[in-house]
Amino acid sequence: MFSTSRFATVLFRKTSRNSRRKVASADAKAMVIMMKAKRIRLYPNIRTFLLRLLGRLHCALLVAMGCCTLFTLLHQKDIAEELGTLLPDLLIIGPMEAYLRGLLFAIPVALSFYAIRICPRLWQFLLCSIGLCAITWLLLGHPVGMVVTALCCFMRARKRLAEEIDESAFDKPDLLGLVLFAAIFLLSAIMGEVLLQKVSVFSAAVYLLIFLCYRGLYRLDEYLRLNETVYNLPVRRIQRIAGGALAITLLLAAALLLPAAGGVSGDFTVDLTRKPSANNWELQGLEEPVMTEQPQNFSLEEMFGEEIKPAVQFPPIVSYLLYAVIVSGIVFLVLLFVYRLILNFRRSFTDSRDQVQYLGEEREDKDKRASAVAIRRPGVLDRSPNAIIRRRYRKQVLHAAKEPPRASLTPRELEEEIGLSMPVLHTLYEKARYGNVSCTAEDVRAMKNEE
Amino acid sequence: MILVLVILLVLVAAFFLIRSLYDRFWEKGLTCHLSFQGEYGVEDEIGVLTEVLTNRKLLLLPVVEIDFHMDRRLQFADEKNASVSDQSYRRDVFTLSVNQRITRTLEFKCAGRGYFQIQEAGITARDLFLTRKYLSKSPENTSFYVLPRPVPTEQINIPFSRIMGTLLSRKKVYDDPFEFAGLREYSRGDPMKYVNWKATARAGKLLTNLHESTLSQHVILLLDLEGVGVRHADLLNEAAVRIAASLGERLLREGIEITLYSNGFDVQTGAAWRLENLSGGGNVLTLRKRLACVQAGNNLVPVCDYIPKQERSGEEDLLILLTRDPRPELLGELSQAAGKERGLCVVPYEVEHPDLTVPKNLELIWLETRG
Repeated sequence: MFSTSRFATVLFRKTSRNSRRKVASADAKAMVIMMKAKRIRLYPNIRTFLLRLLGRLHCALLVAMGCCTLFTLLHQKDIAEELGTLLPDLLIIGPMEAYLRGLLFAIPVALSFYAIRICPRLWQFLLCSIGLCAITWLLLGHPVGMVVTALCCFMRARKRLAEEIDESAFDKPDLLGLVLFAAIFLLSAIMGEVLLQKVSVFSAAVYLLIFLCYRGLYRLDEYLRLNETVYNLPVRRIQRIAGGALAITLLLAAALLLPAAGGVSGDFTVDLTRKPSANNWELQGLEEPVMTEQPQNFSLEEMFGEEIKPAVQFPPIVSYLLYAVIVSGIVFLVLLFVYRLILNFRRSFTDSRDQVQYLGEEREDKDKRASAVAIRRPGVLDRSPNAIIRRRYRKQVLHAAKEPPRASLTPRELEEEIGLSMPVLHTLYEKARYGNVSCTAEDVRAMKNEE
Repeated sequence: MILVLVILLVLVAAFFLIRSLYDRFWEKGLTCHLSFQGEYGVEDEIGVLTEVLTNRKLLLLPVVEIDFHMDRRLQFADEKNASVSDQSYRRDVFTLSVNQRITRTLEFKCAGRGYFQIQEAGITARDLFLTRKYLSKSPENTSFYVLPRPVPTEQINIPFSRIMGTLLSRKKVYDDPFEFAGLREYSRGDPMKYVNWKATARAGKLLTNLHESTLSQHVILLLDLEGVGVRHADLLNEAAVRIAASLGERLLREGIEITLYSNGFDVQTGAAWRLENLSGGGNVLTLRKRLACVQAGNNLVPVCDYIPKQERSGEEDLLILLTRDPRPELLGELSQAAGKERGLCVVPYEVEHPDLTVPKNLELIWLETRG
């Protein structure tokens, strides 16, 4: 009885353990199904992924520019002296570092985007927001970014409460963002900050490209979403053509704009210290101040007061070879891409129930047929007896005929028409042109003897 | 800095140049052609419509939409692209590359009899970056007949009465000397002129020719299509048209000349529908196509008014009335028009039919129809 009860207990424990395992796995499966049922899809398609990525980049770029400006101001001589005593740690971060770390702001923006969707309750989102602010401080290295993160989270919460479905300004680039860059550019011109000016121009160019890319992609995505229920909608081909055109245009624009923007010297200044006055200038004998560009004859080394030496020095020949290889590689890839593109355009294929036909094939077939109809002359470099005889015959005929002979005439009819009598050449020509056996060198000698 | 501004200006100019190229040349070399495959189909069969879109130029057209409308009795398999109300409005999307032609075939079900045309298609295109929309129209000229489907008409017996015609008949009334039927032994009383002397010489006994008896008949079919808009009336009117087609085809194949009158209107001409003096099996398709074009209506003229006066004088033309509503006044008019000859009234019904009293020279035939 004891053994039976013990056995029963062991059996019960085993079965209950198994059943608990089954229940646990069933729970996990149910959780996965529920998650899928809630349709929490991170990236429904590549377009959505790119749009969200561009949205993060736009926000990050604006924040990075703001941070760079702020730290440029903080590093101004008079302000730096005051801050040096109050907050010495703040001046560890330079403007360029602040800019680069500001680009990491894309991460908290993205996390807040998903947090507002995943958190079922707002208080949970509030906790997430606090965490995101901490992450922002960690990434950016200063508490200023926390303010922007807090603002971003606040706006998202407000949108959720108002049940608005429009994209937030933090996720959608706008041309008005260029105003910020323009303002920073002017500020840098007033302050004479070269680095800030260079960064603002380059970032403005990048922001413009991001904006154009976003707008083009958004238009394409909007059209495809509105028409997704249309039967046989050629989504891939529309994406390929419209998306490809957009990509090529932006690449070209980037190839032209970014090097030019990156090569800006940063020496554009605006001097506001002397205000123009018609009465004062002449009296004081001063020249009227104008906005000028200083000559580009100063370098970063002079500005920072130290020589900047490259870390590693390659021999010139190695550099040239490297550049040559890189440029050749890029040119090859571009040509290959263009070639594949042209091939793709000239393809005929079947897509779903659509028969897609390249119309150029009709013209090519016509040309082929036309060339097939035309007399096949021997090649220029062909020095075979057949070719020699044919060329000689053609020369004789063209010399004797007043106008080009018709292709429909036989050699005998042609000779009768133009009144030419050369029996040996005629026989040899027929052998060379139509015979199964090729002419020989003796035939060529016989032809020359006749002449 | 100036270089940056110059590059920006160049890019803006390039954008506007591309846009102006599209504004000016988007329609050049762009053709749309809609055509039905085949001239006709039969009810409940599947037909095919072909859309051919051609772009003969170097401009890409990432999105081109073709929209057209046609009668909703042609039901496309993929109704997602169609908005069906009084008509079926369809929109298809294509994408055209350089020098490209796209051919798309669409299957549709011939849900109802009729004559269908597509006379115009709208073209909507967008430029390379989908910033602008361009609209145009393309005149089309394609038509399709949906013929009435055949129905059994064996129970309709046509009483042949005229003799000495061209129709071989099992009722042997008078022999036609031009129709050879066979040989038999000579019996007393046979005319000598019918003795077949060659057969007699071969057989060694007297043999005479046998002849077929031929009749001729002209049948007038009257198709009453009064009443439209109610499901029951529409169903029975369609059944009457199918019966007229099947019966007419049977008569034509038997060599009988037919004339059809209807109080419905012809959708092609808009006038009263009629088909006169049709004969021969080769005209069966003509008959069915014309019957595909007849349309029912409300408050129509009584169909018997369409019988020409010479037929009313009582000649030996067989009158067959096809109507879903055998009203006493209609039967009276038919009886009067038939005169001394017999007339037939064929009535399609769906579930049950009442017992009616008809004039003596008329025969009423009820034909059950199923949907």
